[in-house]
Amino acid sequence: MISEIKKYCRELLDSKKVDAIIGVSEEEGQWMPFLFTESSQLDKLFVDKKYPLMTTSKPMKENILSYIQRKHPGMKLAIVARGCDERAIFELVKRGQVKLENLEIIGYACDRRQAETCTCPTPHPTKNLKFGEKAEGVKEHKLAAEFDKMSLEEKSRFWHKQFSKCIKCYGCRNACPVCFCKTCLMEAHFYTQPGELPVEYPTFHFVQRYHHAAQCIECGECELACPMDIPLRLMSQPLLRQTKELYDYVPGMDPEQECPLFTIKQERAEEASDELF
Amino acid sequence: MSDKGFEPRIVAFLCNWCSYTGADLAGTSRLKYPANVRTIRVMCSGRIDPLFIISALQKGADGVLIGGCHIGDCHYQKGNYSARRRAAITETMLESLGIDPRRFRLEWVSASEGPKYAEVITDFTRQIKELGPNPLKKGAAK
Repeated sequence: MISEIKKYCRELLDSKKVDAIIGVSEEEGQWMPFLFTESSQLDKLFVDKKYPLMTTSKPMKENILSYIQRKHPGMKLAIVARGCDERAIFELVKRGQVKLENLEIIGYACDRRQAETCTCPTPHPTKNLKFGEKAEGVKEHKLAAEFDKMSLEEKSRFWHKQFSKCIKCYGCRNACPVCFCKTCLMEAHFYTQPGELPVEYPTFHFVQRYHHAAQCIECGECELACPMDIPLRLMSQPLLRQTKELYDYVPGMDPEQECPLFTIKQERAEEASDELF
Repeated sequence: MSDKGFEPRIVAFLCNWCSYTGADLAGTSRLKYPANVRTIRVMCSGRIDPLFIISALQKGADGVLIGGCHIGDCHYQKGNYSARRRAAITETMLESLGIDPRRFRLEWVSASEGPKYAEVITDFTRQIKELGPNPLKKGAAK
């Protein structure tokens, strides 16, 4: 698969269809995001392991794609993306962070083994699949069956125990590709004071979970980043299920589809003109 | 504290234009309702972030009530629609946290519905009394 992707990228760069390609490069065993501008650099392109390409770097408060699009408007870009990267791009498009114009998504599918490692429900790009075969995703969190059976009291005890481990490293937030707010509520002094540990359960821990109720793309970065192994996605999955049941909305599937918590278009369709919204 | 003498503390976020005026009307009409409710006036029910609810519960409330205008009557046209959508998510959220979702309630009370406001408060207080103290409260048995 890698040779096909490289060949395709080389054609794109040589024919000047795109000015640059965003991807992951491997050099001496180190992976890093890389902007490929010449076809000779493409030997370093790397796709075997998951790399959080769309993650927003917190000092910059911007991700690579939006940074390049802001610095070089009009630059024709392509991005080598996995399913989760594509979903992140779509969610960021809806929130005005990145633009789909002048952007080509070169999507490739992950195999079943990779899907199992990430517990990924859709291990392939939905709109831009170019390379690889669609593999079946893993729908449920590994603890989900156990968690669903718990009574309210047991759930409460479970989360108390889990979150008592939290060391407030902000890893879950920093790793999240769809977290982009410049002012973060998790830093608000109303919920937590700097240097104070442990953090009072549960508001602080729930800020991100709630904000992503209709935004979480289930890439699993938060759980991978958590040094204390808190099953964070176990908390967001019921919310995502609820959004799917109520509003038939799955985040990251379609850049045109609007987030149900933002829009009330459907409900007011007869009463008001669209200009209001 | 034994459940018998338990007086719940209820935080009510009331919208300025309908529910707060409704509560005012209940007062001026001298209607009787339990004194367990602590009112917070907000400009619109759409202002209520679910985090306020969790935060209130964390800081010692036994129940949280949101009062807004009836659907279609919002002063800001769409605030209560947002509130309604968030309320659905909030209930799931509370449940997955292990808090009884009945501790949270969203009600539409208009400015002319003083009696309804009294009724809602009476009913909600009774329900919270049945549920007992909030387990999230500090010092409560975990």
